[in-house]
Amino acid sequence: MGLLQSTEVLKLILGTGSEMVGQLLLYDALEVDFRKIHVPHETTCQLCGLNPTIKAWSDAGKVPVIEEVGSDKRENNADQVSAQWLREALQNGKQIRLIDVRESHEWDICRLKGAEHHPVSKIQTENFSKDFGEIIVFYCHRGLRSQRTLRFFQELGYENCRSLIGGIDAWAEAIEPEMPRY
Amino acid sequence: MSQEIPIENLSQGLSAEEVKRYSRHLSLSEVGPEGQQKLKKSKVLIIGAGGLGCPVGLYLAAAGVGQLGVVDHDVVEISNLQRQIGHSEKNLGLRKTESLAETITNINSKLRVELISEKLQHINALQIVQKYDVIVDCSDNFPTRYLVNDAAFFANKPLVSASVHKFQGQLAVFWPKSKGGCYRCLYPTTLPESMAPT
Repeated sequence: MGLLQSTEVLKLILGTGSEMVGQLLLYDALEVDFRKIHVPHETTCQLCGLNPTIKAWSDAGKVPVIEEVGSDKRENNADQVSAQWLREALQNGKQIRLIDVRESHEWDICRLKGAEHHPVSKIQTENFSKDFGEIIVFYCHRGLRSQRTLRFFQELGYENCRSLIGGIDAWAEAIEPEMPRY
Repeated sequence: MSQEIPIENLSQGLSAEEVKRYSRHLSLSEVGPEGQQKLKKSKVLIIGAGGLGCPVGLYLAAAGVGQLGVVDHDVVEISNLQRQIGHSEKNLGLRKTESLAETITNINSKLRVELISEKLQHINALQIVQKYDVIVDCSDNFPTRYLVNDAAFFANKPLVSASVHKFQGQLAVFWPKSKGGCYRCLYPTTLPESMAPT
């Protein structure tokens, strides 16, 4: 990776192409797999988005840590489901609507089979039913955005929603090891 | 290309020795004498002198970059030597900045190296970043990554960022004022138990 980094530095200095600017390269050494994806300006970005919260250097440098829900508590919460549970539920033919709340560039890297894409920034509640005949399972990268989405829906009276613990990353680790991770 | 790095004073020519040394560059139309002089006049900041920072330092020194800044506040330990190829047994216990500087100046004695052996923090980051043309993030932790991203954004410097986790690697070039997004676009949030080994 250091070699690739030095090459990009030299290209930037020489002005011989800005192909990698705004791009992310993912390399898997075991699979010898290279893939390149676009990293767009996110309009919601705290730094370079349309309404940044980091407006000056004095606001900069903070790590955007989302407060963690203790893992024990998460396991015991009925509205938090594990990758294992999800796999079994899908295999058993349970009526599940899988909703991916990540952004488009993340959706392009990997996604769960059968999922619908509703980025958290654009999700519309009117597209979802409160009917218990169908369980809505939200997932994101590591389970934090999906949990926020879940809470939002719950406040509006949706009781048929769940959030995937650890997100697609936990799914990749436990269920689908060949899935690209980021 | 939407933006170029402003590197001034290209008037100075290359010496006979440099012509010989960089002949393989000079014969490439994408580099040539003008490109070689751009490299010579350029200043690159390497943040982290570990698994990524070592090869970056070695290659940039060999290629003829004029000035390198190296930021790291750690010392060389034996467990580093398996991958951090800029350090050697005799430098165990030495600051990583000093150890890497020694290796790279052995490759290229013309290179100017600025050693920053303190932790990169909010108080010093922007000031350090502003002095360089390209910023290379070779760090191994989230606080540094967000800090470097923000400093590069406010100083409007291109940021070449890489990371490695087990057998997987990532490389990105962020320059949001030129094109595309930034590290925060990619990772708007992170978990507290940050995992980011080099």
